[in-house]
Amino acid sequence: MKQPLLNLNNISVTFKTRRQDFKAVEDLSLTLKEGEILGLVGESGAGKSITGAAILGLIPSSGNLSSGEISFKGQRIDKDPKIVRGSKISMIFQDPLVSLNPLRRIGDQLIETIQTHSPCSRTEAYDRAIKSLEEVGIDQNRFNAYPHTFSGGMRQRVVIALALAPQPAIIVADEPTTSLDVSNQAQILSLLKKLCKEKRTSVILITHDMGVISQTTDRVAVLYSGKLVEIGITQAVLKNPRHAYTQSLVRSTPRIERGSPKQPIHQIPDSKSKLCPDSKVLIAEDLTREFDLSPTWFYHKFNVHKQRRVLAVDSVSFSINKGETYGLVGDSGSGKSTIAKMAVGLLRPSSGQITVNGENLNSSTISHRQSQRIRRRIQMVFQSPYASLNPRWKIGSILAEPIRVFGLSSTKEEEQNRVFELLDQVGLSKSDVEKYPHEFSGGQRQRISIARALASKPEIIICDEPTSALDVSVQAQVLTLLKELQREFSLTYLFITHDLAVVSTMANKIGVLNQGRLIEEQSSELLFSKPQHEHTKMLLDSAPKLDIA
Amino acid sequence: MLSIILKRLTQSVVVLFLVALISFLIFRYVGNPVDNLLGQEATVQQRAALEEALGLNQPIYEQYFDFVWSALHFDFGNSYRGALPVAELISSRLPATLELAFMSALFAIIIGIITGVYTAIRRNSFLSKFILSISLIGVSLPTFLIGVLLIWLFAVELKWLPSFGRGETIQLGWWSTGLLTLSGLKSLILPSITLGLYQLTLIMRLTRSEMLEVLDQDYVRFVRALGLSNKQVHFRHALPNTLIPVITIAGLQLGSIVAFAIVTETVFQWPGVGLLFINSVYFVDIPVMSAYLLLVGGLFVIINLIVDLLYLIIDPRIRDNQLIGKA
Repeated sequence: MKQPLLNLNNISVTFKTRRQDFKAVEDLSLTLKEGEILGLVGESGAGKSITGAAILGLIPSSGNLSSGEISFKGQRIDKDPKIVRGSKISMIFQDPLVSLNPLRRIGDQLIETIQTHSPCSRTEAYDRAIKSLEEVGIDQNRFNAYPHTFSGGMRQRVVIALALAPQPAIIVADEPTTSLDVSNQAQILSLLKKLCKEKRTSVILITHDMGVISQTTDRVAVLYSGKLVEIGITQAVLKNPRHAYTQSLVRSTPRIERGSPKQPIHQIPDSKSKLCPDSKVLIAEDLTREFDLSPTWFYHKFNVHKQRRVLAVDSVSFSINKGETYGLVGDSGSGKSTIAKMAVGLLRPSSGQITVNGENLNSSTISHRQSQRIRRRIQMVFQSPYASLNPRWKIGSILAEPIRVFGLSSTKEEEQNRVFELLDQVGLSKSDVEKYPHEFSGGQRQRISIARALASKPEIIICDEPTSALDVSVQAQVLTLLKELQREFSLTYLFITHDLAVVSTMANKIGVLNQGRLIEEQSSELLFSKPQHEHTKMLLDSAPKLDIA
Repeated sequence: MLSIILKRLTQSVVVLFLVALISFLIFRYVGNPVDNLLGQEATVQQRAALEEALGLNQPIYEQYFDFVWSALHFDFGNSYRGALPVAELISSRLPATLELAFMSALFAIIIGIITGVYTAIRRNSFLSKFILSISLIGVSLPTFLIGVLLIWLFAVELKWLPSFGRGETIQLGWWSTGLLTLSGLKSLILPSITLGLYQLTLIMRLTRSEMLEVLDQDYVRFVRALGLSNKQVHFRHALPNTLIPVITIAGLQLGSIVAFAIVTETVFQWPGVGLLFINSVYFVDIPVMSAYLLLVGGLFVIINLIVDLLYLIIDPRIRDNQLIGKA
C-alpha cells in the first residue's frame, strides 16, 4: 500500500486547566492522500481547529500533544514541527482581517516567505511573488499595498497566495470562508480548490458548514467532542450518515428550499394576521442613512479633503404585517445592520421614517415617555451572543433590567416570577439566574438574549444575524425556538441575515439588499424559484448547497 | 499625508497659544508685578512710570499679544532677582536639563524595550521573573530615595562616580555640553538612572504586555505557520506592532522627564532649569516661572507632534486615512 502523505496516529491533545486536565482531541487517527481534499467537520469545541494546529505544532501553550504521533511521508514531525512549517505544510486561518501583519506591504510579506524557504535573489523572489499574486487573482500593481486597503475576500486571497508561495504539499485551511459573505465564500472556495488541484496540493478543510463540505471535499471526517465519529467519501457520508451525530448534523443544516410548500412557518395558523390581514406593524418609508466619514470637525470646517460620505442605506421602503417574518438578506456592507439599528432607534435616519403601529419612531417632537413606549414594543437580538451580554452581570439581573426599566412589575416577587417565566420560555432552568454569561455555551447565551428581548413583552423583535455565530445543530435549535415563540406570542420578526438557507426557513417575505438599496422584494417561495434581479441570482448560486445526489 | 501634518501643526499652535495665555495670566495676576518690582514704599509717580514702561496700562488683550509677541522673540522680560533677562537665565541652564533628560530617556527606552521584549519572549525563564520582580522596586521607590541610595553606594562608598554637579563642560556656542568630557559623562550616569528608572519600568511593562498580546494575534500565528524563523516572527512581525502604543507612552513620559527633573536636579545639585525653577519659586520670581511653564508646555507639544509623525511612519493605516475603528 502506498504510504499516505500525512498520517495522524492516535493523537490526543490535552489542555491543563485549573480544575482538571481536559482532552480536546482524543485518540484521533487520520490519513491524508496526495492531492486530496479532506473535510474536518464538527461543532465548535469538537477539536477540529486543535487537530489542525497540532499538525503544525501550533497548539496554544496551555495544551500539548499528550500522545500519538504525526508523520509526513513517513517521517515523524510531531517532535520538531518547524521542519515542515510553511515549506511542506501551510495553514490558512479563519479571519482574513486579522491574519495579515497590518504594518507590512503584502509584497514584502510574500518575498520574505519565499526567501525563507528557498534561498534565492530578491528579483527571483519578486518574480515568484508576482506570479503567486496573479494566481489568486490579485493585480500586480497592488504588490506594494498594505493589507488594510483590501476587502475581506481579497485579503483571504492574499493569505492563500502566502500559504501557497513556498509550494507546500499540504494546506490546513481552518474555516477559511466563515467570516466572508456567500459570494466571496464561493469564489474563495473554488479558487482554493482549483489551485490545489493544479498543484496537487492536499487540503485539510476545517469547517462547521456542511454545505461547504459537500461542495468542496473528497472525503469528510466528522468530529464530535474530540473523537472521530465517522469518516468516508463525502457523498456517501452525506447520503448515508451512519453515526447519530452525523445524521443530526445533516438534518439540521438549513437548505434553500426552492418553492417548497413545506415551509414550517406556513403551517402555523396565525389567527391574528388572518383576522386582519393588512395590519402593518412596522413600516419603513424611504429610509436613508448617510455616514460622514470625514474624521473630525477640522475637516468639516476647512474641508481639507472632500468630505467622505457613504450612503449606507438608500431610500429603502418595506412593511411587515403582524405575526409575520420579514427577511432582509445581502452581502456584508449592504446596509442590513444599519437598518436594524434604525428600526430600534439606535441610529437616526438621515431622511425617511419608521412607523411602529402608526407612531413615528424618529419624529423630533416625540417625548421621552412616548419613545420609551415604542421602544418597549421593539426589541433586538444581536449577532454575537458572546459580546451582547454583560459579563459581570448575573443572568437574573440581565433579564430583570428591562422589566424594571419599563416598569412592568410592581413587586420584587413579581419581577422574580417573570424572570423564571422567561427562562422557562426559552428552555433554560430556574437555577440559571445565579450564573454568569461565561458559564453558558453560545447557543444558551443566544437563548438568554432572546429571553431578554422578550422581557418587555414586545410585539416586534429585530434579529440581526442571530445564528451566524453558532454552529449548525445549535442554529437549528435557536431557529426552532424563535418560531415557537412567534406562534405563542404572535411576534413580528425583522430577520436579518446573509444566510439564504436560514432566511428561507424563517421568512414569509424577503427583501434583498445590495449596496444600501432594496433591489428585490418577493415572497419567500417566489424569490427562490424565480429570482428577478441579477444580484439575487448570484447570491442564490453562490450559497453552498448540501447536494445529496 | 501632508494634510495630516498640517492639521497636527495647527493643533499644536492652538495648544501653544493656550499655554501662553495661562503663563501670561500667572505673570499678570499672581501678585502685582509693580509691587514685586518696586516694593511697598514706592511713590505714585514711580508706580505710574513703571506701569507705563511695562505696558500695564494698556488693554488686557494688547498685553497678551505683546506677551506672545515677545515670547516669540524669546523675550520673557527680566528676572525680579538679579535683573538678568529670563531668556538668558534659562538658555544657560537648559542644556544641562536637556542633556540629562535625553540620556535618561535613552536609558529608559533602550533598556525598557529590550527587557520588555525579552520578558515577553522568554516568559517563564528565571531571568524574566527576576527582572519583573526587580522592576517593582523601580515603581515603588520614590525618585529622591533612589537618588540618595545611588549616591551613597556609588559616590560615598565606592567613590566611582561624582555625587553632584555636571563635571567639566565644554562650550559650543551658547550650548554648554557635558557629553564631551569624561567627568561630564561620569556625572550624568547617576542622575540619568535616577530620573529614568521609573520610566524604564513603565516602558518595560508596557512593552511586555503589548508583545504578549501581539504574539497571540492571528497574523503572528499565520507567519509561524508559514515557517518563518522565531527571529523573523519576533522582530520583523511582532515588534513593530508592539511599538505603536509604546511610542505614545514613551513620548508622553519624555515630556514628564523634563518636567519632573526638578527632584533629581535638587538631589544631585544639577545646574538645570528645574533647580532654577525651584529657586524662583522661593523668591516668587514670576517671570522665570511663567517662562518655565511656557517652556515645558512647548516641549510637550513638540514631543507629541513628533510622536504623531512617528505614527505616520510606522502605521500605514494612519497614513492612508485616520479611520481606524470606523472602517
